[in-house]
Amino acid sequence: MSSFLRLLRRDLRLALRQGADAAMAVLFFVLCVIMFPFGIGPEPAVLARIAPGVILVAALLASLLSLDRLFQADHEDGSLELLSLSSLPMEAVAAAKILAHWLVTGLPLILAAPLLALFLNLPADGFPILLLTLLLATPLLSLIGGIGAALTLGARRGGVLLPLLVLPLYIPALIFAAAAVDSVLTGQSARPHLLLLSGLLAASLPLSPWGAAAALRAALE
Amino acid sequence: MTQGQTQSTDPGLAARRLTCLRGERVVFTDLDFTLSPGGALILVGPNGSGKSSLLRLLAGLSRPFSGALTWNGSDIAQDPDAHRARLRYAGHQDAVKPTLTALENLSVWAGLDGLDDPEDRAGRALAALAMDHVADMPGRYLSAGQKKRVNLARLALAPARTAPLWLLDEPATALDRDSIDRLAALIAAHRRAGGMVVLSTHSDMDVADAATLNLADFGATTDDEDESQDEATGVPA
Repeated sequence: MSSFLRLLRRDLRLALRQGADAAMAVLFFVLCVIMFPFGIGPEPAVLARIAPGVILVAALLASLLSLDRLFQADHEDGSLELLSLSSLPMEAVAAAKILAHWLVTGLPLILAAPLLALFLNLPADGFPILLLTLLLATPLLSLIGGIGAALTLGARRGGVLLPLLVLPLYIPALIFAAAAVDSVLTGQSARPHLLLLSGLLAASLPLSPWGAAAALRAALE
Repeated sequence: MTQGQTQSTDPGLAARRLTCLRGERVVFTDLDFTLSPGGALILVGPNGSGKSSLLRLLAGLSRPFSGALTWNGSDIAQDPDAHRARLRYAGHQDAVKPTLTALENLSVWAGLDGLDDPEDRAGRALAALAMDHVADMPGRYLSAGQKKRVNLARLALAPARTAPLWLLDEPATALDRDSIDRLAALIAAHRRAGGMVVLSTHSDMDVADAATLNLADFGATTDDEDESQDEATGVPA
């Protein structure tokens, strides 16, 4: 087994043993979406109209929730120092930890999304496209968030700084993801939005671990 | 052995005119030493004299402000990957995860170092520090000294020819007398197999024929009169 898979397995095992962290993100996601009908009122047409945007924003906030611990726990107990001295390049360390974050946080959000779409009266044609956009958008959230988490590592009040840094960068992903669902609901093609979203994902796949690794090296100096 | 005469063909680790800055302050300057296979170097000096900073420089975790570190005559900055592969660093933090057992903690590091049979190796390494009875205990139930021993057990994972250079930052802290003796035995075996050890210490550890480097001798010159913390008394120089 390669070192990359070993690190991934270690992070997944750590997340499973501290199961509360993963469950918290999903619970926050569900509660966050449920707040909207209470605030806006139970008008089915209005809820159906805002459903894609609300679910995507809530997913984005939920994935932010566990982001500040992405590298911090390993930084505090000295593991990150040892990882930087291991045979694994820092880019691979960052990639493994970002992938673990997506598997632990992003994937459960996708699984919970259909239930919430049902709550918000999303029309039936919206379900497949919502899941597809979440499948493209949630890895993007983990990848962009990974750079932010690495940059704010060791910073005073990094937990507050991180959302301020990362949320503006989430805007393009949010625009294209919401537009993809909306266009299907209004009978148009979602293809251009999905292509742009995939393009963002394809660009951040190599760039994010590379940028996060540079920030981690700076944090360890 | 500790100073001067750094011939570039000497096998082992050598430092030439090293200067380390922390912030704007000079921690030590013009530091030279050589360490040959089988050798040991003990770093002493008061708090803040740069023992940990020097160990981090040797591990490649930070870069010297000036000067060079060489391994078998070639600069370690030329091939940082090869340098990382040949060293084992044990710092102040123990890197023990509270939710993983002692054995799992150790086999993760064995696996990440690319060693085969990580679980077997981890079990044997724990036994070398008399930790096999707590192998299945989660990290959060281990005492400070036991965590330290799990961290130090990483040293026993690979033979001296794979990772010849050990960099230990106050390895005896929190250890009981028996564990210090076991660590000393581990170090002695490592040196017999051609390994090298650099360690910093405040307490006495039996390391035979070790050279001593007092970092207070390489401190900044007297014009930094405000740095009175360096003149702390009561620490053997």
